[in-house]
Amino acid sequence: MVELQNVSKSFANVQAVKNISFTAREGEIFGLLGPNGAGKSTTIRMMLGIYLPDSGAIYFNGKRLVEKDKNRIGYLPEERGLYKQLKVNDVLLYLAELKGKKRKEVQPRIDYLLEEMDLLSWKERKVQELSKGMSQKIQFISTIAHDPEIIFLDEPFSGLDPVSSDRLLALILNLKKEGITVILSTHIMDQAERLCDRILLINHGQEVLSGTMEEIKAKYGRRTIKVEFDGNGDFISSLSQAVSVRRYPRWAEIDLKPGIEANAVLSIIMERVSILKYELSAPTLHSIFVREIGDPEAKGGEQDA
Amino acid sequence: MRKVFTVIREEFKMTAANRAFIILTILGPFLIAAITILPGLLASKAVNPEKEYQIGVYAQDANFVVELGETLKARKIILRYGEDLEVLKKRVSGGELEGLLVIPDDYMEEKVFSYYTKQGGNLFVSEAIQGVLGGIIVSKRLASEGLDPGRIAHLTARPSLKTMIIDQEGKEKNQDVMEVLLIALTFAMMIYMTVILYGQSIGRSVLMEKTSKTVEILLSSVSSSAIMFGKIIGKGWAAILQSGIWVTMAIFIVKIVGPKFGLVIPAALSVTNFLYLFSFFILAFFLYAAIYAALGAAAEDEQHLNQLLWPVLICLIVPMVMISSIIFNPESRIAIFFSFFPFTAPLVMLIRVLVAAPPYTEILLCYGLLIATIGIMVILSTRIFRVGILMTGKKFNFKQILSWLWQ
Repeated sequence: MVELQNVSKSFANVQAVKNISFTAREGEIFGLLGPNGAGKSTTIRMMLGIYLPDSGAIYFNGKRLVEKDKNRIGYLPEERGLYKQLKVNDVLLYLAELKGKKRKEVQPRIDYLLEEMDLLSWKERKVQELSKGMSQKIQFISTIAHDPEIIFLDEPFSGLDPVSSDRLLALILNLKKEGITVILSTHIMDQAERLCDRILLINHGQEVLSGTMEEIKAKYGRRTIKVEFDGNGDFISSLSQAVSVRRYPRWAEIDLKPGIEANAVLSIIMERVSILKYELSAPTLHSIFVREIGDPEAKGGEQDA
Repeated sequence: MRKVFTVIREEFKMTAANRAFIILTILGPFLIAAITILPGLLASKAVNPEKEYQIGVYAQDANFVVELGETLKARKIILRYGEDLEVLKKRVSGGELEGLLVIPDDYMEEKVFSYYTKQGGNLFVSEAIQGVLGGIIVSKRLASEGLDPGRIAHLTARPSLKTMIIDQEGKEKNQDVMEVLLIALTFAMMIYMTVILYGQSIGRSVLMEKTSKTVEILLSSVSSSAIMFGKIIGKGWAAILQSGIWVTMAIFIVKIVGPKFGLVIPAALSVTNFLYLFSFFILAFFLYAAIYAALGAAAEDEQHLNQLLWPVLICLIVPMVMISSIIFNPESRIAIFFSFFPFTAPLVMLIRVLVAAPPYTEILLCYGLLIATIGIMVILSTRIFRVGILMTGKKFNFKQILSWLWQ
């Protein structure tokens, strides 16, 4: 379990994180979400012990985070980088040793994980010979080879094909079953919505919203129409009754303004296109993100420190 | 601490267990020899060339040509006499003859003789001809005046100095100046090459880990100072191993292989000299390695790293540019100044110690200054490294980098 209490961090004149508090419990997948420059990387680096917070405290299993806790943490950064000239097995052993494991002790688990990822035959090959997807998998193995209690995954699915993505998903769910705490940072809201037990959405270093998916969705109510249609639905994007609209060629998700009836909006749509299917539901996490954050670039998102 | 040893071991393995290290270990001594020993060896070889040189000669006095030819033959320069000057010139321009010497009729009075070659010719051949020709003519002139050339040579011979070393116990030992100069030059070159090569390697390695984000994974396991020290010490061990191999090879060649083939390489190889080499090597390495690591962490890309490294390179290049003046005048004010200025001290003091044996107080002061500077540089470098290693997206200047010292 990891807990942050009123944690803040500044660099020169930039306040990267302001009074962030949350708890990621044992065996849960916790989503740390936010646009670029929101302060996610700084928050993760503080939890990893790379940065010291200016104020507030970080607790690991109820005790203040100390240097030796690093051995019980696994980290998969967003941008992957391994020693290209080394052999796969040597890299994995080296990184596990840096987590306090002995080579002999960790080798069987490395072999098991390589087999799980269909990479056992690549064990003695150099990292530079691997494809991008293979390198991603190796990096994921390095994150969990030392049997951590908590893992930080920053965009773990980027660059993976659907089959590898499913396999990784199964592995993450398996880790959750084993009681490992997973802190997931991702831009893909659909994935976060499906995977995370709880989330924290931050922007400009501050909490925007937090809680379980149910709590967050209940807060927004069933005010979203998901509609599948046939015809030219360009007009849907500019409906005045909507707070925000996500539109695809044959599908749209419309967040209604307060006081607007769903039937009234459906009638307007039906006049212009044929509705194949519709559903009135709580907004998706994606819609909530867009509603709360808006266009981060338009607001001038700060650089991640 | 165990993690620091793991980083040291892995850095050593990554540096020493690859092809580039093996190639450099083999080629390094040749590179150093090419700069220090080879010019001297080539010069001595060229005076007695293996090859025979065919030189045309045009002269009226056949006896003189015979006398000159006999002497030059010992130096493998064969004279080819010809009666037609134009034919001889064509044989030179056609490459058949190495050169053409024209001996004027009144050669006893003439001060300048003509020597034709195709394109400048072999300098050592022309010098050999000039020497022999001059010797014969001067002897002839002395004889014509009724003087004994042998007696004149004896009377005009200048005495030379034989250098002796007296150690602290009062024992005397012959010491060839060339031996000392050669060893000073070789040792300085070895430190210079190793510090530059391994410094660059540390800087680039830190930069690579920063740009590939590998450092983020490392920092989630160990502290930034453990990474920096692990890298410096790991690569330092590789540098010591490589230099150790070079020194062993040098001793083997100088003491065993050289004498077997009749090749005498002048080199003052003593235990004391090796101790000085080792100590200044270690001090120079750690002084510069810490700076290279910090600048590698502060750089954004390789081009930026090279820009940041300019002041460092200047400090390393200055003693090498001044090496001959330091060797020939080791007690000059400038040599003494640079032997105490910490960034040039390892090279300059080493040369002074080998060539001039300065007082022990000066040597100890130099060691003290260097150790203190290394301590300060390590503290400053660790601070810059800690901040810089996670700073991306901008090319920072020195002012900005120095501001990290207070973060």
